[in-house]
Amino acid sequence: MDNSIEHIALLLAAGAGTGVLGALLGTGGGVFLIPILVLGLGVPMHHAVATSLISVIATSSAVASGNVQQGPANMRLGMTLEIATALGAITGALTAGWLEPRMLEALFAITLIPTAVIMWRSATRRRTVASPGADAPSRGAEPSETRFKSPLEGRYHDAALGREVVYRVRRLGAGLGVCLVAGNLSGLLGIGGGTFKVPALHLLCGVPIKAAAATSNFMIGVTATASAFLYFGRDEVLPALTASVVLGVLAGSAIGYSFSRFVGGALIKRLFAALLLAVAVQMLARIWTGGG
Amino acid sequence: MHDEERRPDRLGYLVHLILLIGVLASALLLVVGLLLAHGTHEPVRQIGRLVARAAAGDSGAVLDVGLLVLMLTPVCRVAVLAAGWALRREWLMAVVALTVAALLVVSVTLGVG
Repeated sequence: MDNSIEHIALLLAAGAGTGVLGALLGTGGGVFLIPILVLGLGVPMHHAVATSLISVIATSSAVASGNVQQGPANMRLGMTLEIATALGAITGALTAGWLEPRMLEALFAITLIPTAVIMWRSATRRRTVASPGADAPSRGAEPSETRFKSPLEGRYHDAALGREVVYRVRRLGAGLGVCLVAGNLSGLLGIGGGTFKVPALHLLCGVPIKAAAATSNFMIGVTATASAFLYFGRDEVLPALTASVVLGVLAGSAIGYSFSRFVGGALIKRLFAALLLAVAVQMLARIWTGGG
Repeated sequence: MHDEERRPDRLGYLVHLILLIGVLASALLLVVGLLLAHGTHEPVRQIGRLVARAAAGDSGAVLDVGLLVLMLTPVCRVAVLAAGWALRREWLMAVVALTVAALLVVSVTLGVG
């Protein structure tokens, strides 16, 4: 690994850029970081995946430290689902160890396509002040003797709505299934998995979108950890490269979150959804033509 | 405020502290490691030897320790939640968290022995 100041500065900038994008677009940043490392900086795929996983741990820990104390993250639900995601992540990381880099690149490129579609569609979804069903108080959700100790119950104060939101989790089994797959993708491809988990928590399990996003972010750090150690053990974590990127991502995320309220989300999401699609095509073309 | 209502804030606050301290400690080690960066990196996977080499100023080892601190932060978070729920006698959640912790221990063992 080239430890020159110029190379480290380049990696810091790459990390910062993906950190800003991740914060503005509400993603973990791995979908941008890996193409930048692989296509832009020539980093081998397994090393890029390992770097991305550790970056996800960093940003997730930094962001979750705020959400856990203040708000909507449902730690009980998140921990319950984490059984499935951690299991999926470990099997994903073990699988990655058996795959050729080109196969891993191809799988990553293919995963970018539904990610781009989800990002595009999230840009066109209208935000409602109160959406019936998921955000409305559910029957029997009044404070009980159990004091919300079950992972199937949750509450948080929504400042935008000006009231407490109480909800009950549905279809926990289906949620566990989606989390198993999302964890597997995370361990295999170095992404956070939130792009798949948040819609699943909201649409399948009936968790309000804010709580779903916060709970997913609470989880992805643990999920990434479950697989990161396996990459570390295979010497696929390049310390100087990973350190530079992680520091850049942390700084970029902080900047991105500071500016996120001033930036219009829909247009940026559409632009980057289109960019992700273009990147997916480029990666697949590169593999098809035998490049890299 | 009743003691039971205060408890979720305490556990959440403890988790918040662990995450914050873990990220900051890791970031500090990574900055120091990058500033020291020189020579080639020889992977060391025994924690004791790794820490010893980091203490001796080996930049690669300092970076590895910084990355391990970052990777262990979520593990600590799970352990604290397991203990917190057990102390509150929320046995179901304590078992859930211990299950997750066990999976993470498997991963740590496979990775760094």
